Amino acid sequence: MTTTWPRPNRTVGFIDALALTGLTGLLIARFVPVARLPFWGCVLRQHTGWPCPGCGLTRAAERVAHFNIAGAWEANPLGTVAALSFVVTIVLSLLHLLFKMPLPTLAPSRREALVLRVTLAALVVMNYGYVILKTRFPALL
Amino acid sequence: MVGSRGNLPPQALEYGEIFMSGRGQIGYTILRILAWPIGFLIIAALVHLFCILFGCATNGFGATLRALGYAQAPMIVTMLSIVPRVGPLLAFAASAYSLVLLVWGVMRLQETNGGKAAAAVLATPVLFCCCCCGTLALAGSALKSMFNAGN
Repeated sequence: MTTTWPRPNRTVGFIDALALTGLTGLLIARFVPVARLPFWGCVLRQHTGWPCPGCGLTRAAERVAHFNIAGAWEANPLGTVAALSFVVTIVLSLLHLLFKMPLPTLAPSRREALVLRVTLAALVVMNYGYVILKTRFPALL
Repeated sequence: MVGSRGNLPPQALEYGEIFMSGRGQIGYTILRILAWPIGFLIIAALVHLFCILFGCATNGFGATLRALGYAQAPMIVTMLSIVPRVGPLLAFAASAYSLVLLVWGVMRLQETNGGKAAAAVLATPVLFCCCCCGTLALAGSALKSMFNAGN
């Protein structure tokens, strides 16, 4: 992993863009009752009873935005981790834009990128397994 | 599809009426103008995140942002979407071409191969499909209504 530390600056970069993504998502989750919209819902779950890999993400974001971390974890653990990661990027971006805190540029090597992808894929599969168990076989949990 | 609106749930019809009204359209236009730069940065962030994951982020976030900027050019055609029949097709073609340009842009500016660039760019719409099941539901119910109307 190549880490480059720039000089103190306020240049808008990747972390700031990620923070904007997280901020937009969390503000929508906080103030817009997305889950109550008439057309909102999982088609796969409605038609087959089985959840999709993204089931529970809306609830997770909504609950994190309302500081209900345990509830969010129950809805979708990986979604909760993602939402909390966005909170971290928001804090980092604020520090960067307000106090010129330098943010490092991380460039993983080819091997490290492969490890990252495999880990992420494994986490997605594990998370989907949990969501299936929670939805279809709650007695097993 | 418009002829089969009766098959949609009443709440969806109500939202549709609000959206299609003059005030709704003005509000949507203002929202789009305000949301475009924010959406631009958000999509760039997501594409770059996948560029990092697929090991094709050699030249940093700036390169991804520029690639996305260049790829937005065909989106001007989406203004023609109000033209009956042909407009939506043109808008869809422009959006698809914009995606192709983004793959090419990422490939050139991040100095990577086509496979990695395509994976990094196409992972974002896949993520949106997973996150926005509501959109899928809407598209699904519209298709269902269309098929029902045909029967």
